[in-house]
Amino acid sequence: MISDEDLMMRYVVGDIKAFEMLYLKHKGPLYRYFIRQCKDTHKAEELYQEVWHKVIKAKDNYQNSAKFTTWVYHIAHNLLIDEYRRFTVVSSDINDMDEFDSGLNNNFADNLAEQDVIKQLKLCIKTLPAVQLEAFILKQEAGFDLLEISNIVNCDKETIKSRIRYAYSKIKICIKSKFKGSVYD
Amino acid sequence: MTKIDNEKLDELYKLGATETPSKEIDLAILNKAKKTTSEVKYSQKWRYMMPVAASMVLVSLLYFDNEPTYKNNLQLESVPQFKKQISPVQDASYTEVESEKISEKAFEAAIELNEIQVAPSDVKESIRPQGLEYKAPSVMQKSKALKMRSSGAINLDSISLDPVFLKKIDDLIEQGETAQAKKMVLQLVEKHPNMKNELKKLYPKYFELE
Repeated sequence: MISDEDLMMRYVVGDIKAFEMLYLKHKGPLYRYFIRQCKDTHKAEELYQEVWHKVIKAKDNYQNSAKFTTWVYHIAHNLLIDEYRRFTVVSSDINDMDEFDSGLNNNFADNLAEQDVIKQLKLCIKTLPAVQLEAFILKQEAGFDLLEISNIVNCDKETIKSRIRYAYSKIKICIKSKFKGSVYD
Repeated sequence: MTKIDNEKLDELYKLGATETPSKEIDLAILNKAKKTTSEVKYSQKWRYMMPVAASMVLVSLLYFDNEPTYKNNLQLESVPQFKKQISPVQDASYTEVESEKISEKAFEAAIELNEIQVAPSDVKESIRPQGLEYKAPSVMQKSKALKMRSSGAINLDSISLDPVFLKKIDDLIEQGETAQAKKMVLQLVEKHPNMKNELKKLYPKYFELE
């Protein structure tokens, strides 16, 4: 299987098919990276397109030294930061939920409609602080490990680890609170 | 009962991660990428073509500059007196007689220029055409001229006047500066006694008192 970096190098020398393959592979995760973090869908789409435009524009200077996905999500992260700076205040790590509480009653009924849980999961994700949300999304969508995420968001590995842990805990609590009556003992 | 742990959350998240960009967005991005690729192909083509063309021009210039035949011809081109001359090398259809005539003219011009160079500054100024830069004849022209002189191919008495000087004299006459024109004619006669007859034919009234 051809790596992303090889596909990009092929695109640099004019192979449009390579770019199409690259685009098809990454369009969903990158799109959801913005959709999950932007309240406005149009803005998310705009930023999504902007990332690809930057990739296309920067291809002449592309060097196969960094992982393609790390490079792309770094662009995406910077665009998102610019957007936050322009319109909103970046959320800090707010850890006011009792994360340990989530581990106590973390069962839910098998017969509960999975789609309902997924729907609730998406709603719960939206409530996460921006930095935790981004770390969580990068892990889920692009499959990055802690070090890669820390490189993208310019943070140390331990902070990222903490953010992801808090994110999981809050989502669990959120889901639990939604399905309290019917799911939990 | 199912435990809601991190793995289960990951699984649920992946099940729900179905959002994708619209077809319009896909097309817009892919079209942009395609357009840039064609631009790359075009610029890559010119990236190699331009240096090649520039190198060819440079090599040609160096060749013409260093090739004696073209070098002389360029020098001839830079002097108006030589403009009507065509290098025999350039025009192979020239007969030997024609080429000899051209050589004679080149010799005459070389002699003229040499004499202008050694002439006193006031005379030099008076006979040098306005706005023209003097260029010394090349080594090859000089040696050619000397060769022809020693071989007796040219009769010094038959050396004719340069049309540029004659035109300058005519211009002075037209402007009514006959005194200056006369002075110039007499200076030429003094400098070139062998041309006296020719000048006498052209400007008889300046020789009337003689």
